[in-house]
Amino acid sequence: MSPKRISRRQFLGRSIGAASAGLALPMIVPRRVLGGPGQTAPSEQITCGFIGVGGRGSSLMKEHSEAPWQTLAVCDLDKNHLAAAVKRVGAGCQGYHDFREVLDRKDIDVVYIATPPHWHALVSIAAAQAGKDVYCEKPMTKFIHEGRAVVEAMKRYGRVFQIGTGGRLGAARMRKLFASGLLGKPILIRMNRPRYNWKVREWSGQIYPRIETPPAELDYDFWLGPAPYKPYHRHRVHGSFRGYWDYDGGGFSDMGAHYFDPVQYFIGADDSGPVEIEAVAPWPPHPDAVGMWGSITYKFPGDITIKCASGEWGKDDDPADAPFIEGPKGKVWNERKADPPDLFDKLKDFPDPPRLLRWEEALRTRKEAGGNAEVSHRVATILHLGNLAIRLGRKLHWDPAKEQFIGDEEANRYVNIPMRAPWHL
Amino acid sequence: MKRGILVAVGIFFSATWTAFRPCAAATADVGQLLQNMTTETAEVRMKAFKEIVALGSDGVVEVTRRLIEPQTGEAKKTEPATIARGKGRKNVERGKVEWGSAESARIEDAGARFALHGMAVSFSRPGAEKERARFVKALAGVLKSDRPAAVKKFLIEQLQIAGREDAVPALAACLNDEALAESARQALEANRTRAAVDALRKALPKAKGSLRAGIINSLGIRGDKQAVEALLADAKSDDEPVRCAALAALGRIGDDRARPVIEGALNSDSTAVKRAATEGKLLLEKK
Repeated sequence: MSPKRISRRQFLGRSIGAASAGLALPMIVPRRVLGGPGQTAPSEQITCGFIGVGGRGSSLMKEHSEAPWQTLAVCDLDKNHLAAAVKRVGAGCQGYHDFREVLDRKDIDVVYIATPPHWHALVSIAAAQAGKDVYCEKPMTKFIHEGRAVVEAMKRYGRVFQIGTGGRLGAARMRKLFASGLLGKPILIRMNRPRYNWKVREWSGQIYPRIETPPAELDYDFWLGPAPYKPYHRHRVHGSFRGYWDYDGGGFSDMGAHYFDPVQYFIGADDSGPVEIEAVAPWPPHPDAVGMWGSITYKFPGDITIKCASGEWGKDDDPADAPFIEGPKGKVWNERKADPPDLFDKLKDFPDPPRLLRWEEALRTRKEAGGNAEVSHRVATILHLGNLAIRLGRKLHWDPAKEQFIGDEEANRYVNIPMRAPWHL
Repeated sequence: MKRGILVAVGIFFSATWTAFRPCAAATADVGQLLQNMTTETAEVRMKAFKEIVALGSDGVVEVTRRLIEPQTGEAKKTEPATIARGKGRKNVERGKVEWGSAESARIEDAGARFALHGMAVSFSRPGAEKERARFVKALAGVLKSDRPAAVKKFLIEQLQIAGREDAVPALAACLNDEALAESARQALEANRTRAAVDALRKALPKAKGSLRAGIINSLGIRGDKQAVEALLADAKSDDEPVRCAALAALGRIGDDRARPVIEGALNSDSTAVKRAATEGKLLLEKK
């Protein structure tokens, strides 16, 4: 099953139409996009800007260093990161301090966002407003409402979005298994260590950090951006920011974005979410630093329970050889080991799920990418809900349609967290 | 698992108790209650928190006295939150950290932050209104004191979690304090009462620069139709962040009176203004 091909001109017309929604939006189509003498064929070139070129951003640049990708701009608030990135790309690449200057360039098609997560939504939305397609690193957001705002912005401006993880692309067989009903109900999914390494200790924050002077090469106030002002300490930034609630949500957010992407897809919850969430963790938590947790249990509609165990706190009740997925009619350890043993063989009688589009394919066809904004927002929501269960220390009841907690006004304050001015969604 | 949790929670609360050691009678009561919270059951912890609040404002205020401003200088060693809870106290007990030193004060401060945040979250849960109100009253009182701004900012963050209409007067007063205004503005935005929106709107005429843009953002997010007239003027401001905030906020509020000013800004020479107007226009059309 191959997607219907449309011309570059057709898709531009469609995207402008979608973005305008009855409003004449300013949009300039660069000549190289339309092709012509002396221009690289549009189908062979996608021009890129990279926003955040530290560890992960550098890797993204390397992965997109050859045709059809062409890097025209790199951006970072750390002068050292920026200089290294400009040098790496070489001629034809301009360095920027402020991401808005990258977005102002009319000759850039897509932006790659590899900033810390507290910037992801704002930059994604600004990129959509500037007419750029967006590849955003995971986790997609820092809090739940940001994700909904990104989804709406992508629709409003007719842009393509892809999250920086693609686990679901290899999960078609598992999706087929769930859709088949061969496992029966209820179903328990175990996302336990060691199969799942949640990196709890690795991405924990520090509770006694002293004030340090920000290094001259880093614009710390801009780096904080929408996050509350906190005095600088080196552990808050590069490489360890995940340990602080203001910027991310620890190893659970980091690794969970990879782990839940295929699981949410194969259980068929891409437009839904859990309805009940409970965590076992030391409590109360530190207000600033991400800490330890033992397990997080979700109940999804359709009689599906997902249990995540970190193996880092308390004792996990599940035996080491417990199946990954367990239903009354079947158990699955992996795609090569199941009970009954012929469980996967029986799937040949069931239809395949629709094929998911990869990033580049989605860009060219102007169709939804496999890791589009809606499904990525739903994955991020699962992660935020788990972290909120840890932080609030109580069982949470979630309405996935309204994206609000039920009967818990104060918990709802964590759904849409105020941003430091002048930043706002 | 239960044993592990008990040990860890015990270590934490023992560390917290240490933080209260040198204080007066109320503090001794608080310390004892915190020690009694060495349990994994939420009900027992909740009971202990309730008893602290039952001591009156003194119980909560006593905890806030342990808060200090963030310290400068190179830390000897920083510990991750996963293991630091117990180590602070152990280091004091073993003489590795001198009691009364800056290092021990920092450990006390960390314990107080755990406890105050725990109370804010506990009392904000459904069914704890009486305790929540007492807790908020105590923190609001400390905001009127001469404690350092960094300490007050932490308390405002707790009021952002637990405060309802009762927190609004204290937070609104902080809007006049340059060091606290931004934190207070965020706490009021999160506060889902009408009184919080009224306080933000009343503060708008005097607010300038970033605070003004922030208040406008908050009023837009809260959909305050009563602010439209004021925002129409701000949508023509020479201060670009203020103007952009107003254009987006007007679109979000969705009042037709904003249409001419938003459409006028679509032709601005400024890219930022043009984008804010486009966003405002699209949001307005969606309403």
